[in-house]
Amino acid sequence: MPALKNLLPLLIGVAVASGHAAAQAAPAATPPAGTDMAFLQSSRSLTLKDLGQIYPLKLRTVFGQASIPLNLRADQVVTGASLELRYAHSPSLRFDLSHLSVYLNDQLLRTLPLTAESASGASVRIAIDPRLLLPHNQIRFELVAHYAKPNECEDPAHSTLWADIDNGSRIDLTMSPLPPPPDLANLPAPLFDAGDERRLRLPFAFAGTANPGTLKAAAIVAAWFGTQADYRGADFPVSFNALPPGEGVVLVSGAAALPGFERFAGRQTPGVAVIDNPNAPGSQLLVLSAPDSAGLVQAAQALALGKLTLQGPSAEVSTLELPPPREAWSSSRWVRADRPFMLADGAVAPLSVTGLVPGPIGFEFSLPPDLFPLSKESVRAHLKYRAAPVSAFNSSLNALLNGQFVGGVALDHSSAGKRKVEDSSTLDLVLPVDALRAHNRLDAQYHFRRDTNLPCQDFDSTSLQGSIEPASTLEIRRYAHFAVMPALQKFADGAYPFSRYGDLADTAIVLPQAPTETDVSAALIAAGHIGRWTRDAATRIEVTTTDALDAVADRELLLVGRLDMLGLPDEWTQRMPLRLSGERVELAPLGLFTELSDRWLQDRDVSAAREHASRVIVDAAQGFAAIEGFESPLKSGRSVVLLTAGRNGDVRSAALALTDPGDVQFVRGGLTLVQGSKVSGYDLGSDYEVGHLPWWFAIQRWLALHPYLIWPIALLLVIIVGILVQTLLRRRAKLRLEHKI
Amino acid sequence: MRRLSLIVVVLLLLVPAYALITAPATLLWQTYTAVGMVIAANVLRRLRDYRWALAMMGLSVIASTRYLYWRLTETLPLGPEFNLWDQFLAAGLIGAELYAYVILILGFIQTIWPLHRKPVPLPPDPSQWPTVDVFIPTYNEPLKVVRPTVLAALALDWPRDKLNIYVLDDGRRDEFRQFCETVGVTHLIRGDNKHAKAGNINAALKKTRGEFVAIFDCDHIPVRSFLQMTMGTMIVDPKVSLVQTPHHFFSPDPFEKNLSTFRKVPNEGELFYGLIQDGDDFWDASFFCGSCAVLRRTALEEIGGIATETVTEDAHTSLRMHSRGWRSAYINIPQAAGLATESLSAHVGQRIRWARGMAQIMRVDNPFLMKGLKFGQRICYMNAMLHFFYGLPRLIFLTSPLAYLLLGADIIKAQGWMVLAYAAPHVILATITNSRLQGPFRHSFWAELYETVLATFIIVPTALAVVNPKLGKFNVTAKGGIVDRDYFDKDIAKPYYLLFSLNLVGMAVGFTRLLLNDPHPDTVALNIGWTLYNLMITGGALAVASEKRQVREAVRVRTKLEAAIRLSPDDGAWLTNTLDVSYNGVALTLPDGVAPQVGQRMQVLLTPSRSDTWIDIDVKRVGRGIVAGRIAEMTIAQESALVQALFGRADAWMQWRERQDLDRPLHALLAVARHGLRGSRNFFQWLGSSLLARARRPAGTNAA
Repeated sequence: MPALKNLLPLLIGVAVASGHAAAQAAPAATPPAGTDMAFLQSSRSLTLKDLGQIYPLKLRTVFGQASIPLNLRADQVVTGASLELRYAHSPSLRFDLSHLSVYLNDQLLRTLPLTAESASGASVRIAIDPRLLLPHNQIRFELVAHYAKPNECEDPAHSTLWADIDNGSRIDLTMSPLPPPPDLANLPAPLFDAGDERRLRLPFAFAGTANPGTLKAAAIVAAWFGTQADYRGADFPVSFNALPPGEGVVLVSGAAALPGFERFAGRQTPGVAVIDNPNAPGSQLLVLSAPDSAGLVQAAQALALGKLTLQGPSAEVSTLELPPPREAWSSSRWVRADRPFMLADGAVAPLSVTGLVPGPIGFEFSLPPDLFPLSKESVRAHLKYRAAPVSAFNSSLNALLNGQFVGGVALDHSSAGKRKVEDSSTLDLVLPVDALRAHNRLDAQYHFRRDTNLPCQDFDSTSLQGSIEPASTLEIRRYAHFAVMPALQKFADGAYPFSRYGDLADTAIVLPQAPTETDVSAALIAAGHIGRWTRDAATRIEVTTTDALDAVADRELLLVGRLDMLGLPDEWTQRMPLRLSGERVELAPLGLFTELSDRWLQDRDVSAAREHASRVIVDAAQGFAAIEGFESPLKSGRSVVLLTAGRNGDVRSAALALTDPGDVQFVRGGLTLVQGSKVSGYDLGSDYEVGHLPWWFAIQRWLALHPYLIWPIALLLVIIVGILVQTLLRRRAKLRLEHKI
Repeated sequence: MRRLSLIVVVLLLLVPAYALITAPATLLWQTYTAVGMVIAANVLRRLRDYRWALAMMGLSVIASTRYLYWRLTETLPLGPEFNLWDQFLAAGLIGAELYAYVILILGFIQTIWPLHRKPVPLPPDPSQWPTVDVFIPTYNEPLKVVRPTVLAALALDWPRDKLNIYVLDDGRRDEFRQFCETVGVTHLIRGDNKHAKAGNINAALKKTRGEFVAIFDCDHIPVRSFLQMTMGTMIVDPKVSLVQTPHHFFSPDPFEKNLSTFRKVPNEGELFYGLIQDGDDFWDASFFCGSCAVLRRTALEEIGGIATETVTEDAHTSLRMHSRGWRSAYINIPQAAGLATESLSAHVGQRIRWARGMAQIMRVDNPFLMKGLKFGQRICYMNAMLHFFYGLPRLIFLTSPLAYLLLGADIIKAQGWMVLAYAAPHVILATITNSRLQGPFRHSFWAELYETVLATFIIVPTALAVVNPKLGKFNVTAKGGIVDRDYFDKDIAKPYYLLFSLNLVGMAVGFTRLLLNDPHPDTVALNIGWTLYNLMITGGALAVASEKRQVREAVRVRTKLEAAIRLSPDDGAWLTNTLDVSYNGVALTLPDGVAPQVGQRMQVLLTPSRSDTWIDIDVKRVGRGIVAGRIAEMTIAQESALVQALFGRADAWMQWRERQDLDRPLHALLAVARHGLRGSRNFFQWLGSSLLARARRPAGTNAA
């Protein structure tokens, strides 16, 4: 759904952007009084890697092509652009016949001759006419390469025909802001623009100190922006009593208001508005205002649910009826396990490919993080495919799950009778459950070969085609919702356990009694992280402080605060893997049994992990941040995720680790330490379990976890059986000998 | 209500059992489990109370099921990396393992509680005793064989007016008619030989009218107390249709003869009659074995007489009576004895007949589907029948390691040590549990030997019978060592020469692979161990097969009987005892004061307390306190006295079993290994001589 919702503002953006681009050469027509747009000019530098190209682009064959998308913000106009292209190519080409062309939106930018000098690597800067740039652009590279003279025989797929484009090649952009008039209809733009691939940074401002009600509203808004930002991540700096320097969110509750926002104070009905930032021309602020914090929550809920009247700069929220509570894992984010998932719904690329070396056909899908396969073959994919019958021996279709090879099929059309493709074939894959994560990508990769026995025969690589049918499915059988905790990797990747209900009906954020700006910021970042995963309105989230825990006892708790500021009872401290003991930070001690069982039964070396963690803590001298996971002292089966820091640490860096695709993969186990740029996760034992397994699986699993009991239980069982059966048999034997049966 | 609570208890016990069977384990912990289970079983084995034996059964079932579960879920070579050939071989092995598992479980149920039924005393007043017809069917056996049986039948302790003895002579021989007239029994013949023994008995049933029918094969000599022991049960329980007693053999079967294990190691029959039939009796499923049994005429007539559709008419008849709600009883006291089959070929022929017959019954009246049977009866009959399908599985076990060693086929998808950790408790527990249960009646590993010898020969007959019960030749009878095809023992040994050679090659290849640093030394080692075991068993089979034909002599029974001797009818008699008696001669302790001369005729009175018929003997040897002589021409009365003394004593065979050792699995393994070694020696002699012969032959042809 978000995709559709975004469409409207984007279209508007396109029109506005192109309109202004033409006028850009002339001085700005109507600059706001007393401001000069020039100082608002910003520049951005994007590498191809930033644009999602993880590897260098590989151009192959006589006519190799590759293209990458370039999206731009709708509220900015590009005033200058250039491409710094770094490339290398085969030194064995006929240079008079070979060249590399660069296109932007199908317009030729430059054709680069390939020379002996450029073969080992060259860099060239190509100026781009800013008028060619649209909100959504495509940069295409085409290689025309030959190693033979025009009339000579040539293998169009010869291995010498290659050129690589470095993914460090850079696009430099100079931009000027182009703010549309404040209008709710544009939301989430301009605060968030899908054309911007960077992490969203959106400051929140509160009037006075934030109370839990206001924070709840903020959390709902943060989660909503988290959903919008999705994989980009979202950072929400927080200031009490100060306006954000650029775009931002302002919450006004009751009479307390920031300077300049008095007109929002004392409103009788909750409302949402978009206004120009008085402190920063060209930036807009989202203002939520209400007479009390309950109203503020209502405004936030309306925003998140998309129930605002989407017109004009402001809207009032008079009444709001919340949708019924969500079922577990009912959000569109998750693959429904009770029916086959149509892979086409998660397609990230066209389902049909062409050429000798086509790109993968990718599908993305998210599985509930607590999806617990009961067998190794629980998750299966059925890829229905068709490949043109011209491909030669050894052509194949391979499937990769998260980059790991999981299966393939030879496309052998060489045998007689297989020269026709009239119907799809199916590649059935058992996806290895260990390779599955919350968010997964399944790639179908065609590898075509041409017949090397006929090097000079006319060969048209575009006749090599393959497709995956939309009817391809993913199927989950024999599963449970179950997880062994703490498992911060499930929090990092899937926001488990908070993401279970899309409306966060069993989630509570807990802050210290007097939360600081840093604490609130960390909490909002975490809320955004959760929103990213739920893709739903966080309408039923609760926010409270550590002195009012009882009200949220039956919820999953996201606890935020520095270790020395938490002020939690001892029973909480007892459970923390990392805790404050007096002035010292220490790891929870480990029982002998736990250590033995971890080493011998679960094959995990807790001592080594503890040793490493201790060293990091000592080195950090209280300058670390940490994420901890442990079972809630308030209710068994409930979890606590604690975002914390040492006395000299910053809680925000723990939260920000969740939004960084590089760092987030190291968040795991029961304790993750963040020190500077280093993130390290540790499995420290003392497990608890969440969810239910079918009884038959549960007992089997229990015994597998206690294998030393197999034979003693067997012995006990057969002794009981022996005694029981003996009585029964003796009775029957007696009847038999008495001629009664 | 009690049934319901029983079901609840069973379900409650099944839950942990399920977990025990399915819980996965790493190599370390499975090894630990295996060791724990084997130790536990060894402790239980030493405890005397039977409940511990039942516990052992449970433990063995858990170990085996756990193995099989693992085998079926983790080790099957499914997937694209395994070719069809691998999978075909793997299917064979898993099929054989499933068969062995089913047989193990059925066997446990079958023998879970041997009933040890005691004979029921007869009513004190003999006038209330019912009338009994004794049938002695014969076809082509010499009169010499049948005579003692008839004479012993005449001496049965039963009112003479209520006892009628019939010789059912399908050979319609004058010699027999004359003998019958002489001794005063009825000689019955019929017009044709339809349905062989079954038809013979059915024809006789129409001509006789005794309330009960006792049937003896013509070479099974009953002891005098046979009817006393069996008829009480019949009288007290009118629902009983059959009282069966063991078949006892006083001569060694070919195995015992060729391996010299007579009366040391229990033979095949002793497991069946000592334990299985007794176990069957608990489930009301002991069945008719064709001889040494009493049947109720009304029951027989209800099912239309002896069944004629199969070649094992006896078991089939029982099955039908059971399905009509009749009961059966088994009295585990030898009350008749006979000669064992003398040659291996005859033995094999007899087993082929049984195997084919059982397979036929499975097709004609499948005990699992047949109406009117109880659960235990279905289990027992099914096991009795399935047992005879061991041919193919046995052959698969004997060749499976070769698939890996010689053909390089991956038929088990698992690490060698892992297979060992799972399979070892399965095999070891099954072995020691069976040893605990069958101790006096069977020794471990010997069944392997018995089955192996027969395996290759029963595959085809059983398979044919399953395809169509009418397929295959219908052997008339296996009595008297005559089968429709005469197997030379060299023929019998042939398959084992082949199997032995193959395993030998397999082992050599295995060791070579080890020396060449095979990437899977554990799997190779495991398979080498397996071939070694196979060599031992096939070697043993070769030892059994390497026999010389022996002419049947009169059986000597080494018994100490009371006796009296006198040098002439007028002389006084001396009390002494026998050392050795046979149908031909007798050896006695020479009492002081008697001095018979060699060549002199002397008279012996056997068991003087019961008999007053003196037998003439010609003294052949005197000395060292022993006198031995040849029995002279006997009158019927003398012969009868000899038969009664030799075979007819009520306690004649009672002590027989007590002489044997209890089973100790490791000792048994050693014993079998010794025979395996002996067989191997025979093999290499054969190999040497045939190579030599081959080397000479070309020279000979050139010269010609």
